[in-house]
Amino acid sequence: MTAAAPAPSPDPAEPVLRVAGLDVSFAIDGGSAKAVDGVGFQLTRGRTLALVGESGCGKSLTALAVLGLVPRPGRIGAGSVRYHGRELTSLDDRALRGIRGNAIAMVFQEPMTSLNPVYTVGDQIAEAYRLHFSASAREARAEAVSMLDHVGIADAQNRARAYPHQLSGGMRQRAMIAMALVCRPDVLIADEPTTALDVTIQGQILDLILAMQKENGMAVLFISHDLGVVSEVADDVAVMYAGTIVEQTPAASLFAAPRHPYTRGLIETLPGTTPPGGRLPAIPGVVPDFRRRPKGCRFSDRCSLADGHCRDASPPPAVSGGAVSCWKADAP
Amino acid sequence: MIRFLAGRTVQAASVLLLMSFVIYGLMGLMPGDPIDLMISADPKMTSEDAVRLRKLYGLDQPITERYANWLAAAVGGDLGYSRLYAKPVLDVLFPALGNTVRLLAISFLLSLAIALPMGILAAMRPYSRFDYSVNLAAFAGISVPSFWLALILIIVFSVTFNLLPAGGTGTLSEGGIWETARYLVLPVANLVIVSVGGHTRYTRAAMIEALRQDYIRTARAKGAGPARVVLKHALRNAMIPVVTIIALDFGMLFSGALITETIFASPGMGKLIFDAIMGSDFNLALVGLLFATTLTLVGNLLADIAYARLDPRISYR
Repeated sequence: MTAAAPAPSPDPAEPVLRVAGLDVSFAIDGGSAKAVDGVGFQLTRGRTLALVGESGCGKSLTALAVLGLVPRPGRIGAGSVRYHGRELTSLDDRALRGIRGNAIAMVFQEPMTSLNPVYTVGDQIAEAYRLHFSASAREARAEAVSMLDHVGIADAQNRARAYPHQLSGGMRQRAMIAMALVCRPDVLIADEPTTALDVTIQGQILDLILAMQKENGMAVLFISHDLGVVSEVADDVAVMYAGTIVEQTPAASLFAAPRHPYTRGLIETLPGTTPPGGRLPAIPGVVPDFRRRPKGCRFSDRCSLADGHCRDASPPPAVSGGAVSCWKADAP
Repeated sequence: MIRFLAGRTVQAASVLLLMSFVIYGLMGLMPGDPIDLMISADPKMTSEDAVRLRKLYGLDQPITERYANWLAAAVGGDLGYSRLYAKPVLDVLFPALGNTVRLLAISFLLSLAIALPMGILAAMRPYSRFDYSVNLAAFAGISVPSFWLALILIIVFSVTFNLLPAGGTGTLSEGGIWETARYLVLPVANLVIVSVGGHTRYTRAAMIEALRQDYIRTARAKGAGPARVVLKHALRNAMIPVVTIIALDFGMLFSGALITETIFASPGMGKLIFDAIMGSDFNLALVGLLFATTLTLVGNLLADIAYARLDPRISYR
């Protein structure tokens, strides 16, 4: 249980985490369906990659797959997840446990239900620490209190003794972040960390995550459906649709020059891009169920540019920066 | 917590008071009274004698009056004599209570000792072969009527194989602990079989529910192993509903003991109350039923305390 904190990669440009060709499949009616299909991306030190998409597009499943926590009966069908070059998908559960929460930590969406209601937040943070470092209960406790203080909780000594229901939503999420960061991970996966919070608190939590990143240079995978939030935190953006990444690009160019028709549709739905008083445009149709996706390009049934070729053949997925998965990319 | 306990004790006392009136009333509705019993025992008694005796013992008064008299005496510590045993009621009840509590405690602990691990293991792999086997066994246990099972146990283990006594109780002085234990095996087995299925099902359902929660995913994401996830993070949450249901079940177990004790001729509360009612032993039946009520109330109070200890969201002020 005493896996030392992982050595930072020698070359700062070398990705901390490299995901390639990742499939997550569920067995259904004798066959199997891929909820995540050929996903690839890289996380680099000190940078934030935002994974954007609608509910059910496979964002969270991708994150859970990185940690080997795909819920049954789903499983990783193919692909590789390399952390500092070390393949994680072939590790057994014991070895993975040494990575989870230690090298790669995760913050979840709903801090009320993601914290265990019957233990104090101090206990839960101290537990995360003791799982990975040999420390006495007292040392772990001190570590938890200093971490709570560090994430901006006033009177941390006393707050550590509070149960989750005794804290406000914002404080709970701060406690979750303290729990994720207590082992000084170099990858933080934040799965919709601000979705359940008030707008004012959202800003504070985003600032906190960015401040922590600046301080220890961790790579952040930020999962969100909210392009407004993404524009505030992301260095790079990967847009996910129906289980695949359809476009990957630096954040600045995504908002300035979206290339995939789906991305363009998403950005047009943002308030502020339409003239005041006008109706916000919407993308017609709904996300196809992952068991009944269209043949060819998955977006073809909702895309105004789609032609016969789009409906017959899938474009290659966008697996690295600047790539777009569309036959009609850059079409007018 | 102290205030809560004080409040609940007052509440329990009120329930007990109400129950004493209800039970007293029901006893009053039973056919016959002590004087009728005396008449049937002594054919020379005249109806004048009966009227005189009824007046002497206050049996001619309305039931509310009689209840008030009984209550005054009971509060003063005089619970009366048992007609069947010709002894003060408490002298008859306490040994029986000891026997019943021993039988119930052993059955209850054994049932939980089986149900908790089975329920937890089944919940860890729901809809697996193991889970289906556990469910099948649990439903079989729940569905079996306890009186029928008791008879089958006696036929198989006492009559056919002659391994265990069919009824009664051993004394420590005669045969030692093993001899006493031999008498307990069948009644305990009977009570365990009829209660373990329900306990297992409750545990399984609560564990499945707990294991589905977000905080379980959090625990796994911070690197906790399966044992820690199940036993530390899920079990304590799952125990909150289970404790409530099991505590309420405690009262049911008590009534189950009545049947079990009667069939196995085990001298406990259940058998005593049964005999008292059949033998028109009013005092004994009345106090015996009140003892049973008290035990159930104490069970519920213990559940409330356990509840507060398990779940910090519940605070008793």
